[in-house]
Amino acid sequence: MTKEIAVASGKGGTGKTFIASNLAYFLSKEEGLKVVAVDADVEAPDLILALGGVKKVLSFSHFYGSQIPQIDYHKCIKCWRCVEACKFNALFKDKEGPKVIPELCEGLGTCALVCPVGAITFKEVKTGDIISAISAEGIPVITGELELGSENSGRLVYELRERAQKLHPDLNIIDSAPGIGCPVISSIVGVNLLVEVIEPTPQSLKGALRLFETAKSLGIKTFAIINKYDLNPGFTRKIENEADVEIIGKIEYNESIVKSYTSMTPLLKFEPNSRVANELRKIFKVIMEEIT
Amino acid sequence: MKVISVTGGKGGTGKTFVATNLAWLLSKEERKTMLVDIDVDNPCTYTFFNIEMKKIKSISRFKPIINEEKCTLCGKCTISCPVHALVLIPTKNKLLYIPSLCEGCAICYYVCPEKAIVEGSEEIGYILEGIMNYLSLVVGELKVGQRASIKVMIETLLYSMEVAKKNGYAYVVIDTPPGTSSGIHRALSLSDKIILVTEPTTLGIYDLKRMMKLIETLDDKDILLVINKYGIEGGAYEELDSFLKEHKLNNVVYIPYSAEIPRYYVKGKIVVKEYGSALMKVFEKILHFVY
Repeated sequence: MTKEIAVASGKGGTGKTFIASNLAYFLSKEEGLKVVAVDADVEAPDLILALGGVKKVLSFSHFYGSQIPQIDYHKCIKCWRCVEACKFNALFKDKEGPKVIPELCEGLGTCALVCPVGAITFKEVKTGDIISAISAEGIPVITGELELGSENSGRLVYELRERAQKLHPDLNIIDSAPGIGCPVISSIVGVNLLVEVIEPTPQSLKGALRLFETAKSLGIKTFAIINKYDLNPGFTRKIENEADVEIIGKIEYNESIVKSYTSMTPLLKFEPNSRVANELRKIFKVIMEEIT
Repeated sequence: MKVISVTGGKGGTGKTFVATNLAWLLSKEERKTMLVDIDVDNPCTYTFFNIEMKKIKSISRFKPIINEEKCTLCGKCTISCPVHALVLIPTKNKLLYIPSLCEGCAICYYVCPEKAIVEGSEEIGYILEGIMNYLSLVVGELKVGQRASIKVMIETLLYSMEVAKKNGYAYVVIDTPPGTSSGIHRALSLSDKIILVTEPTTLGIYDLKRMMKLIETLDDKDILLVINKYGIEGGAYEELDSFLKEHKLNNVVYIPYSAEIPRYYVKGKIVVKEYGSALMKVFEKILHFVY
């Protein structure tokens, strides 16, 4: 059975991709496990860049994760039942008949159901691309790219996780979107372990607590890592004392991390003997023990 | 009224930093300014101001309430529910509702032949508002455990635009979440000007490219690119240069990397107020773009 670890954070830019890429590298290259990395940050997918970029594309496919109503204005009798029934206010009354506001439409089909004359049908809409590739570091990465300005990212994320399962790895490492909404819930629901990345700032802590509560309501075991802890040691202590979550390690702020990104190499390979690298390994061993 | 969106693609590049400081400066010049926070998953703008926030609007969705006396366990709702939020458990003679899956489409309500499903409502988020002198803050916040961020974003946008127009605001500054969702698209399409905040890293530039493609789908907008943390050691400067040339972006402002800025910022301070002239010069350029 494949196990799944999600890396997430309530706020953006705390270091999710940094942790996810190095964790995938550690488990795969240093511990010899079969790992698939899943980039579920579908609005800003860049995990494969942190794993050396694309060596070989295995497959590329479109994902049709939504539907949009098509209205036949010859059949429409302008009874407006669809407009009244839509709970998302995605339809409005117009001269010709009802018009759809695509960004509000969830594509669930209530309008078609209530239409008495069958004037509404549904068309599948492409909501993203799925790219399966081997990264330069030799780790398979499944990447989702949401269509620009699209929604329904949760369904795309579920599909990515399913595709990863089909490769029968020991472990999936899921790099989640920031926040607590739809793509995040789809990234963490049912995983064996959630790793939250927190920065020592009030903004990040607020997001972290919101995400922790979300995970708790879904019954997910959660570990936290404090990244850049030395930027605000006082606040780091506050998090350690007050947050009701198991903190498994702290990572210092270090310019080598930025450099490792620019050279598209996981830090564990870029500076394998550095203090940060050793600290990461210590944290990742705790994760490995929990999961195996 | 001028509407300015602050966005950028990647998380943690400094969107909220730019938006809060910009709104504060505009309001200090006694220009009626509204700062709108649509980072509904984790709205943080109000941690920088000493403004009392009040909940002024609740945002909710449909939720089914099952009348067990009327329900015949026929299962029509479970078959029709597109997200499988209703499940029939025959052994227990029970219809189970799973709130975390429900998106509130109300199909169950319409298909039930016994009228055993009644319309209920569940709060998914809310709008907070606070006013201090020339600055007004409107914040959309998603409730924990809810999925519908986009709905809360759009409701917050619609509410704030209406209030800003009605009350004669000179500037509306919209702080967006990271990403390229339809909620961000809506904010950008409502805006006259767009401030893109990025950092000189490979990942920052990659996400900004997606954002540029999103902007290409809109009518012509004035764009200012703010490169934050400029000068950070090990940054992707060659990549940044070729990106600027390729997109012919010449309206660019650089915020020099400084270990000091995050120290003020993490304490929840308006940095231009504390940090002084070097940063003020940068913000003067941003203000010049906004006027």
